[in-house]
Amino acid sequence: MTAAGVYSSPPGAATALAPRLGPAWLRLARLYAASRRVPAALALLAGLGVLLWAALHWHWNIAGGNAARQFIPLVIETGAAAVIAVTTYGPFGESERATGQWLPWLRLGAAAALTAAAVGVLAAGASGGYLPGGSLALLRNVAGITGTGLLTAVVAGGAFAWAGPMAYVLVTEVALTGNPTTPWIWPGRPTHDLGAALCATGVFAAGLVFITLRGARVSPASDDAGCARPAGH
Amino acid sequence: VTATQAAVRHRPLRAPHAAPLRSAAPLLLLELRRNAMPWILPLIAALFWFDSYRPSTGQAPLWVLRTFWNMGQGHTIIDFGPFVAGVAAWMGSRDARRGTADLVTATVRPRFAAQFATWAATAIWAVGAYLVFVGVMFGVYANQGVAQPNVLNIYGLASWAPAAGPVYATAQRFAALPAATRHAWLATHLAALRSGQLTLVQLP
Repeated sequence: MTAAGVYSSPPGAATALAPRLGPAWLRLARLYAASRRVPAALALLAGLGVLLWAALHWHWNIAGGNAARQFIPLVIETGAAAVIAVTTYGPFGESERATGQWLPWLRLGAAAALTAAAVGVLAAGASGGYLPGGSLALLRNVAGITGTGLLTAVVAGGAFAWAGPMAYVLVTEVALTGNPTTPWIWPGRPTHDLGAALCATGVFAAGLVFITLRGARVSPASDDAGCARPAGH
Repeated sequence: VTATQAAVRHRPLRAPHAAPLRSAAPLLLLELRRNAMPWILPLIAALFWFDSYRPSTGQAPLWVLRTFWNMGQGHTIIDFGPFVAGVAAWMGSRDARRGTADLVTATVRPRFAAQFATWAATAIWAVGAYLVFVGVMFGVYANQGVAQPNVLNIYGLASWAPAAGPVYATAQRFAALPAATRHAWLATHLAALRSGQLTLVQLP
């Protein structure tokens, strides 16, 4: 008996597993989310939403000017952006890229979905009290800062992608001690400032495009797969 | 001859502290070479320039003012702190991240010694870079002719303060005061000026 002439599986042999686990694309998305620690990221985002709610509800504030007034909401928004950016880190390195046909779409979907989730939970948290600028400014700030994180992931790797939002918030806080007029410091601009909205949207769009097309950099500094070289970090 | 008649030979004792130090040095060098801190230093350098150095050059060229801007208000520490904390967390979680915690726990070297080497390497990189960055910044200040605040260079404010700036306007106002009033004010407030509690724009 040989396999010659057999061109398909016996009826029911290959499809027995599929109905139980759902469609293939859903399984792929679930596995991708698990490899990127998306459940942990969602839990952290929810925690940041609760933190924002508590900060606004109990009027946590720092005495001072514009920089001090925006410090707590801005740091929480930056934390959310950093969490999203770090999820671009994958443990499989180049081997995944060589075989993953749907990887760009998964990267795009994960980044966009997590950003939407972050805006959602932070907007819910903002119901705890008065948020400077309101939900529209929140959307602008989170999207823009997330864009810096995604761009950092492309340049420096997913493991260090948090450094981009962190650097941006430090630069912003320094600028807020003055009276920033540049739209690139979008948290310092009024809610309906068109230039600030365009800059934030542009950075977010650039981040999404680059993370979709190129993915987070797999560098010796961030490669834990150990394939590139046996680095100790 | 039996073994019971053989004299017991003692091995020469080694210095008790030499061996651990000898074995710790290569481990520390290894950790220094494999540390993630150097990867983040270019970003910190850019931030340091933007946040600490660049705004401080807008201050009057007096050590007390520039030092107060950078150190007193914590700009230099803020530029380093979050990134050092992030890298330290990354380095400290290495064994758990790679799933090798059980493997290395079973090795001869105490876990504390190995983790201490990781911590020490990160701290050496961070503190070393901080000292270098601050040293370079103060070196640049020195080249710019930054001076100690004393009676003479406060009197000469108008000669080096940027025109149309608040210090220049203050200098003009201060120079118009009677000499006795200026002397009396400086005699009273020089200590506060030196400590940074009082800035030059607060001259009468």
